[in-house]
Amino acid sequence: MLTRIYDGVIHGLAALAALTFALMVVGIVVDVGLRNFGMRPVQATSALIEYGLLFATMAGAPWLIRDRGHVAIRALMGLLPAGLSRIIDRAALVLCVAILALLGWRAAVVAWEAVEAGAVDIRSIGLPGWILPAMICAGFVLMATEFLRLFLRGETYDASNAQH
Amino acid sequence: MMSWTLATALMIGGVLALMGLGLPVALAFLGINIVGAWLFLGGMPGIDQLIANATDSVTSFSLVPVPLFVLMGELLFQSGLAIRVFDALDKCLGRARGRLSYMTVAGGTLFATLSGSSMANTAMLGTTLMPEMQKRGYKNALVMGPILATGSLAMIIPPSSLAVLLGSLARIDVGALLIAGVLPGLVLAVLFAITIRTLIALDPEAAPAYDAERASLAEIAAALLRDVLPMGLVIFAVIGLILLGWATPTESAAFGVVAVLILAVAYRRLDRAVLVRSLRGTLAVSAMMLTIIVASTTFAQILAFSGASRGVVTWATSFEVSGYVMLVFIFLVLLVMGMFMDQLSIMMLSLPIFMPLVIHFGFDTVWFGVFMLVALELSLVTPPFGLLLFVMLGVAPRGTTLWDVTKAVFPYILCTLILLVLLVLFPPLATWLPSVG
Amino acid sequence: QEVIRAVTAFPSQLAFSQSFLGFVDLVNERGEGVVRIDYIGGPEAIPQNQQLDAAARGVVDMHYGPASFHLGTMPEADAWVGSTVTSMEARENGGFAIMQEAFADRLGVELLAHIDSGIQFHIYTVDEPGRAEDGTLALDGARLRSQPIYKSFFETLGAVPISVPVPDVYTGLERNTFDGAGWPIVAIQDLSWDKFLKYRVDPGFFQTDLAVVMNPAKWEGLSAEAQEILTQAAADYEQISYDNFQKVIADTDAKVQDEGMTVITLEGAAREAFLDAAYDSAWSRMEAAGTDRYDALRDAYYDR
Ligand code: NA
Ligand code: NA
Repeated sequence: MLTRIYDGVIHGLAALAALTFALMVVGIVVDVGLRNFGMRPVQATSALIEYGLLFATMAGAPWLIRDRGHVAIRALMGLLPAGLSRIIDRAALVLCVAILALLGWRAAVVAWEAVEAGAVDIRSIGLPGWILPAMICAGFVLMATEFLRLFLRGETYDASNAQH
Repeated sequence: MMSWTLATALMIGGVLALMGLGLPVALAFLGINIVGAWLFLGGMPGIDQLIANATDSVTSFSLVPVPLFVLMGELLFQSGLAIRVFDALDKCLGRARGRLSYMTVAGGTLFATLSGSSMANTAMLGTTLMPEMQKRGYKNALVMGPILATGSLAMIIPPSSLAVLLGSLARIDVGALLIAGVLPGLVLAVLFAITIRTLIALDPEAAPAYDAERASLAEIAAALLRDVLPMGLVIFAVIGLILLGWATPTESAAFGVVAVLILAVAYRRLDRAVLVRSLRGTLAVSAMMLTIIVASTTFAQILAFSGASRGVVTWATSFEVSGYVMLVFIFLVLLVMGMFMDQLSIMMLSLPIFMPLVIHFGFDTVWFGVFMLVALELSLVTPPFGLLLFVMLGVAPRGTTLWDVTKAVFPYILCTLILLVLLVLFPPLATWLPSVG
Repeated sequence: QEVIRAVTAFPSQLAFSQSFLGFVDLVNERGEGVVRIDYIGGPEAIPQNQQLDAAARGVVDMHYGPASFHLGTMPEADAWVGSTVTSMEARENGGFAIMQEAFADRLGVELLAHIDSGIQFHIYTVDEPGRAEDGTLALDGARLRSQPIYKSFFETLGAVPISVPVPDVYTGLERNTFDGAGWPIVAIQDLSWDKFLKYRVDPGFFQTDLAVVMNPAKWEGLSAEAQEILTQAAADYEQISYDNFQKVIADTDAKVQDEGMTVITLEGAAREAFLDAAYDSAWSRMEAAGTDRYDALRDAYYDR
């Protein structure tokens, strides 16, 4: 049950990320249209699109691990004996989890500090300063759990499986 | 504080080591970023700063064309519109060997006049053209090579946001610099075509001849009218709106997407499945690229913060040499930094040191601006950290290695070197157009 | 000898950063053997918007950049944006001390100086701006490239503020995507925008809001002698940089007019209405954001 919810989150976020790109097209077309018909463009558009870029990155990145879509250089590993490369691949997964967990934790701290300071990010409109670090926190933590999932299932991250 | 030589070795060696161990490229950068932030930015506050820096890395409006041009390319490919254009052009080009490679150069150059972003250009060409060329049995040097090479033309031929930033940072007339890029960009495109011709002469099997039935003139005209001419709508949506002043170069990418959608509807090739596949493909390529940008931008910042970057530039330009030897040094610095850093950071770091030298040796500043743009373009395709190499790896079929991509792009890197020599031998190549314009 | 590591919000080669480097030279000259500022770099080392937090965290010791980048967190920044007195006067009349409090409370940094003041912003247009019968500007529907600090002012003029990244502005002006832009009087030639922006509206409005701030712990940890040197250099450099930029302004003004820029000067009531709209937009924004320093800051910084 829990795993099904979790899988739903990963795929749901990926769908939202993909939708974000479509919304960027809509936002820009509407904005440019309004401007050229002498009307006032929506001030929020450019700020929201900028936020959308990080959102799509962080929402798409965990799914991309499952899809083996993040580029990795596998040439050197291919030269090693199978046993050794398997050990290194497993260790690499642990390292990835550690890196992302540490960064995810600090991103949570930075987001919380922004909440406490009442920080506002001034762009075409002002937006609460905690949103961006919170996106990074969620993205990195979910990436960490995806690597952990690979590890627990006894798999390795082999980007040569990447497909389109 | 650590010396810059040690800092450089640690940061760059560390990323290379983690990449060699097979970590995803973005994770290799992030891992070393943690070490670098701890050492140079100062412990845990340094890592918090790394997070803060990361929030700024991709939240920039100028990156919008990257996913949107990928989306446009995916829609062209998934709806089958791209294939129709190829088939039609195939009929016209008849049996010329390697015609798809020439088409890549022609199309990529055309796209360079639409797009200011090399990454967007490369990803678009890669998603649209690559599957078809692979299917027809082209070898890598004639598939990935031309895609990477012409993809990077986008920042030399205007519009180019990089040229605008270079102009403002180096105090070079922005308008002159933009126009000055036109001729060198076109020369480069011609050199790429010559390279393709040479590669085919050396290895005819690299571009297998396949039977294209001899089409009659009427058939050719019909195919052009039906499949190629409507593409003019896409061109108009992107470049026409810029020329009319309705949209900025960054915004125009969105209109390219809309134009392809309209065509796909008109040809009855748009359905739910096409849309879903296109968006899925866009997400895969864009999320991969943007994650690497998050990681590598923050890496470049730590490298700059540690003093390593400035140390390298200052050291390399500290020798007492003649103007032309200094140009060689400047080029080498750009090449080496380009392997590890993004172009904007390179410019901010090196221009304060380069520009006084350029003026001291009496070089024309617009000319030098073009020289620098071309050298920076090279940095996108040099291993091990050239961003376009990763973009290519991301869109390439399974089993493609970084080495395959590097081998494929090598002959085209030589073209860029030739162009740099030409620029030094015939400065008017860059300075003539702005002087008459 | 104590060492302070500094970053600037703008790339080192730009005029404002060069001015800050003049402050660095002044401190290093006077502080020989006592205190020294080491310049780390600009946005290539830490992104513009993250530098002040970096100083608050102690990742760097000193930061130089616009206070209005943090307007959302510190509404008091509008006191500088909407100020009509020089930073030297504000140091005398107590305004600066209130701003020191605001920087400490809201942003967690020690404010050292408000340098490079006295540079105003102007509206530039591609075509001659229309004028109503009473001489006021008729900018109804004009698309002006804008920045957050004067977005609401442009709206009160009836113009349409457009937020577009700097690298896109050149092509936008070339193709008439916008009718004009707001920009400081200096640096209008840096991006070659003056090729298309052929009209400048006078008077200028607002004032540059460039702060030099330090990490509080680092500041407290300095010796009394080092603090004294920094404080004195900061006060002196407010005057020095003001004088320097007054000369740059005069030179730029002469140069752009020489190269064909036409200055549209608003007179009398039209001029007053224009300036009222500009300054009211800043002060009412601060009032709306809510700060109990509003009255004291308005007394100190605003004398129109
Ligand atoms: Na271009
Ligand atoms: Na690079």
